[in-house]
Amino acid sequence: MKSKLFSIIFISFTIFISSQMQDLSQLATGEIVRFQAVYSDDEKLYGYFVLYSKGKENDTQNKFEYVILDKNLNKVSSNEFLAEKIVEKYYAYINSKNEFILHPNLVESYSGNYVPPKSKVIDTSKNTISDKVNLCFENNAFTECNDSRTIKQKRKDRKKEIKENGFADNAYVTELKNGNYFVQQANVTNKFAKDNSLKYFDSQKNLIWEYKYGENSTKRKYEFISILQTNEKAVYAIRTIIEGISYTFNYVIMDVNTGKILSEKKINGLDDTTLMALFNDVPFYQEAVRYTTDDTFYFFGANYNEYLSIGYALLTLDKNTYEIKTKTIEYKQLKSFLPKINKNGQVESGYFLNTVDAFFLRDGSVGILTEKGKQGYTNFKTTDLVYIITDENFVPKQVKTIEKEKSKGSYSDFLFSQYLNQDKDVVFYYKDYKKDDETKDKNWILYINKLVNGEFSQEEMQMSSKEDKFYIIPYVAKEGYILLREYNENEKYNQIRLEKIN
Amino acid sequence: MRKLGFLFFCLSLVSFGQKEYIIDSADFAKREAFIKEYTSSNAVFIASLEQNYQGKKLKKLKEIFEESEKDFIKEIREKNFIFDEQIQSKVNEILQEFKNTSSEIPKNATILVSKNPTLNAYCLPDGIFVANIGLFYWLDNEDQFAGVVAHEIAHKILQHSLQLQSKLVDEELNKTHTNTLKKIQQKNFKKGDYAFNYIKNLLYDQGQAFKKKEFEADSLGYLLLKKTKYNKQDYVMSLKLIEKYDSLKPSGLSKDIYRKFFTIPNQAFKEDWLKLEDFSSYNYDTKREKFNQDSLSTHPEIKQRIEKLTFLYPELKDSSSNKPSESFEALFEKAKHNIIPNLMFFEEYGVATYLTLLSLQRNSDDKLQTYYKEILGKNFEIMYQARKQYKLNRYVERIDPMEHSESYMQFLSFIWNLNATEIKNIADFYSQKQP
Repeated sequence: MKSKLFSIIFISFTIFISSQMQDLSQLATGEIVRFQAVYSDDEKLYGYFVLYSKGKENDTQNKFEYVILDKNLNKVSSNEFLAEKIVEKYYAYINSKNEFILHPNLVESYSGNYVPPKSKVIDTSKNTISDKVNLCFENNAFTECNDSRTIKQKRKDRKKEIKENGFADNAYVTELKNGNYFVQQANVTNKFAKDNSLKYFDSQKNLIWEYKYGENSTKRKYEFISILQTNEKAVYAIRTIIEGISYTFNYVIMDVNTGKILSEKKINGLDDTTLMALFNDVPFYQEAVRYTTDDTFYFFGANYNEYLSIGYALLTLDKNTYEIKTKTIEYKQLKSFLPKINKNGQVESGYFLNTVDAFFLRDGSVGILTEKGKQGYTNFKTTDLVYIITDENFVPKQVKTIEKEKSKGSYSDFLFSQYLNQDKDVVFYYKDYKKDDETKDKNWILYINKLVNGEFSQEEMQMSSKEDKFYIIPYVAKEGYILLREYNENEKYNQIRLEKIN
Repeated sequence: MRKLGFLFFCLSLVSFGQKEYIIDSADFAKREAFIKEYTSSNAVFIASLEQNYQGKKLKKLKEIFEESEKDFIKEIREKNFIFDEQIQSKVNEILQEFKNTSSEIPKNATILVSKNPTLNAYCLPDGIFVANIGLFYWLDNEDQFAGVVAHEIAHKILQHSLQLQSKLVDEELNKTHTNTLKKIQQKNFKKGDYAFNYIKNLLYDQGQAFKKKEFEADSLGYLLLKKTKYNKQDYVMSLKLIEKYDSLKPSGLSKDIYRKFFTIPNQAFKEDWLKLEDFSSYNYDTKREKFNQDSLSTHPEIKQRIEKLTFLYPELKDSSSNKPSESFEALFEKAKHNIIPNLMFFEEYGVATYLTLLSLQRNSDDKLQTYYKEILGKNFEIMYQARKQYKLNRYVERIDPMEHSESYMQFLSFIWNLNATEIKNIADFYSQKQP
């Protein structure tokens, strides 16, 4: 959620000439089906990924062309490849091993039995693209996954295995940045998992250690471990214990060299529902925001009481001291800043505070960016943005209301955000459709909001003009910059720009 | 603006005031008079089309040339061209020599000089030749300038522009591409590949056809030049200069210049301003181009052009160059001193600033230092306003490690490393708004 991605459609190159040729050149270039920013493992912007769909290659495959651009929009590499016809497009990311991965998104309307399409891996040093080889762990050995089975076949095989053995052997392999592997294994039935095991292998696939748990699991009580991160010292994880309808979450730290548990503490102080929402184990209305620094895991989201949001919750897990901190803000604590707020976050005539982003700043303070919104009879409406600043103890110390016109039909006018100056500061962007006082024309305005050294500043930039015939789409860029795609009738200014924020 | 690399070759020492060389752009009356003359000569040209074309094709060609007339007039009114007596007198003199020696040249042929500081020229179908002011800077003498003009006259005599338009109109009227598109659309598979290959072949064919026309224009151009008083060997010399300047990239600006000129009373220099943007994590070596650039190019390699000319005319093998006349040298100075103002006219404030710094580095004369500092102030003032409005990248490029020299990347890094207030302080200091 650090930067919300949304697609921009623009043509990165065009092939000349007369009006007759336009359709031909469009057909030759293909249709842009994705334009997105790609981040490297350290969360810095690596560059951009553009994907063109070039139509049917044969009865079973479609052709795509990708273009990878650097952070300054210079072309790094491009290539064509074929994919199963059920793939509509790909989402690109750089994984922990620094591989450029394309993850398939299937055609929405496609149903029925199919072999799940593989991810692709791009080798930017050679400009090649190939199927990603997924590793499986079967019969105590690594093997290339048998990806040729259809989803129905997989379900059938699993059902058969459970019927024959009482459970299915389920193993999941994770490749790590250092070349080592984790295998998380369990015997699963349709209801629960038992005889869980976490195995750690070196890059040569030699077992370094194994941690077994869940030997006594039953369908009434079972558990699983989710790894948050591994570094050169430790493995940081959450153990979730499910007993009936109750959930317990433990913060577990294991020695990465031995598998020995260095610390395991139950996370107290927050409602089960809140914790479930923070770990995104169940879909809730308000998505949690996670952020990781060198020292701390942050989990931020709504604080629930009996499924009703009563404020905000912050869970921090320290990587060095293994300390767990849980803090909450109740909406009523905001009364001195927002006099009309009630216990469920309603601020005025049906409008609630919807969290659109959260920032965990280096000084320990948290910024909660919210937008007033309500579901009307026909569409969703939003008005002002409200930025809540806490102190290092998660106590609200300032609330800044940024007035904005009422918007109808879109869920939010917030666009995206970015940390600045090594997480000390932040910038966030939103759009507003405003009437000009003089001309009375309504145009989109981009608002650039900075919180630097605790001081708010705002600049505005016109995003559209009927009179001057231009329209600008903003998008995320390298730190301190914003990408502006300007469509302008004046060809000279019809361009993509990277502008440094002031 | 292409071939800005040309501009970084050399801004040599000068020892006189600059302002006297700056071309006066308050030339409304001359512009309007030229437009009047151009409109009537273009009307004659358009009417002349009736002799060779008829029906839909004639109508379409008329539409095209009437439309291009509007665009050209717009460019004139936007002050893209220079109406300077000294320059115009020289180009008229050169053109007159061709008119005197070759009867094929239309009587109404005119040379218009563009503010574009690069080494280039082109011809319009009706007999207007456009020569960039950069020609006076990059070429050694008027003989070479005459060589370039001869080449453009040859294009006109051979009706190359008209032939191209005629071919495009034929394609449109015959629905050549529309029919191809329909056929491709009817296919079940690989529509994109078919369309791409069709366009590729079309572009490659077009590239070949253009190259052939260039060779033809070289050949006829040389014969036209040969009839004049100008040194025929300078035809090849002008080609060699084009080849030489084409590969130049901006370079030569010392890091110390930044420290020297950006340490100002109210703002200490920050070494961080010189921090280079890092592109080491990218590998650009495997970048695949969809088209073969040589096949796409409309101009043959200069080397090939010289080879072909010297094969056809062996006397060109011993190329020698004339010394420039005094009047050409005066125009060289004028062109040189107008490079930065012209770049600013074309809103190329980044390049203009780089060249201003290079000029400050190379010229120690007090008057020149004052002049260039004033220009520096103007450029920084514009860059400040652009930065405030989130438009700086319109005028200052982003770094492209594959295209830019180390020196230019250093310059771009410096500009982008400055914050808005720092840019303003520099602007104020050099605009003398600040002590």
